[in-house]
Amino acid sequence: MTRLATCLVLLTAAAAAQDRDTKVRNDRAAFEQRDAWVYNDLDAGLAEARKTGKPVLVVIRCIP
Amino acid sequence: MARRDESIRHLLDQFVTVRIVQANALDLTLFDFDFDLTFAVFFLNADKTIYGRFGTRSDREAVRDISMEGFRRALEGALGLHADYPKNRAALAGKRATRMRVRQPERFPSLKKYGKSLDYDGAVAKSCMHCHQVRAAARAVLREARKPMPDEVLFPWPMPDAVGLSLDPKECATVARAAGVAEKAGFRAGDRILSLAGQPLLSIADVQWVLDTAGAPARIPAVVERKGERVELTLPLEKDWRRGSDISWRTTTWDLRRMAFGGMVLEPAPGADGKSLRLRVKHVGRYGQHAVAMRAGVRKGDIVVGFAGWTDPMTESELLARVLTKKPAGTRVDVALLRDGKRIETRIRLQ
Repeated sequence: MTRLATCLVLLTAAAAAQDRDTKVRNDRAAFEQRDAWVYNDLDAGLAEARKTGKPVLVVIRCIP
Repeated sequence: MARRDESIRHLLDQFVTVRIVQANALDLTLFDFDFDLTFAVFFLNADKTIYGRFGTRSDREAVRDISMEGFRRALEGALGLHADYPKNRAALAGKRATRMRVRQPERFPSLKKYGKSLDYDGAVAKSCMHCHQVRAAARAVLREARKPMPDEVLFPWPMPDAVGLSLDPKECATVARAAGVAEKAGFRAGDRILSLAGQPLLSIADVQWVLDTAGAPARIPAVVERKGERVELTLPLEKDWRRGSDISWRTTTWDLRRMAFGGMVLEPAPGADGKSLRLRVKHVGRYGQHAVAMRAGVRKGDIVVGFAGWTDPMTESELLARVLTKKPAGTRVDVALLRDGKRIETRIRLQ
């Protein structure tokens, strides 16, 4: 029973991790289609700010 | 969601917007924020001067801490600071401080397995370091060194309410209600806090930053606008001002419970009379190092009436703080429980 419970936990965790893998990839795909956002690259954002004279808004977001 | 609001979209268009979804390789000398948040905003100049922060969470429902209107005000405020930069550079200097022992989180011993970037071609979720892991890693260093955890580590980013300042989430830093220490210091409902410790404020997060970095005891100068007049006040912080904060909602408290309680999650017990310790075991960890209490025989529903010889009334947060400041890792402590009216004694080894 303990082994079965362990297997179930591992399978559930694997399924949940797969779902999160998909969410993380989908988040990048969704934002990279939008010109408005620099994705996961602070240096690129700062370079753009130096070029344009704009301030920078950095959103730090943990994908659930 | 913010981009669907036309007025906010117009403001956002005036920024270079950067989205970061990992704590891996985060520059902790720049991005110092409440690591229990899943959403945090920084407003920066291209030279990395911080104009302000946005994003707050507490044990309350979210609408009391954060709002779209508050975000709009923060955006407007940041644009105003940017327009005045660099004349206001001196006032902004305090918004950045080197507090972490390491510059990047992968340098903490418990986070060495993480790389600098996400593995999008492989197990991307596993490669992703969460923000809350940064605080947990910093705490683990202290605990493994058998050092007491200081209040600023145990009670990070307290809400301004801890000093009696309830702020309106729809404004940058406007007092909704003043009580306790803040009221005695002269703050009043309706005051618009223009600066704290000389720093301009864009949000409740900015107020939290000033409080969190002030040290204790401390005296923080403030300038408020009241009925068109500028009023100067001083907010005193006592040595233990953070201790009234509730840390039970924090993701990072999970690891504190492993260290101090062997994996128990505690909540106020029914029938508590305020004269003695009485905390109900809401949950007992079942795996690995979070199962120490379970292996010692503790069950969900048990009532903790004694811990390490202490029997005075405490909240879970207060008991966590006492254990982690007074009992080093490796100590074995007695735990007294009530179960179905019967008293049970057991011992757990602190981690």
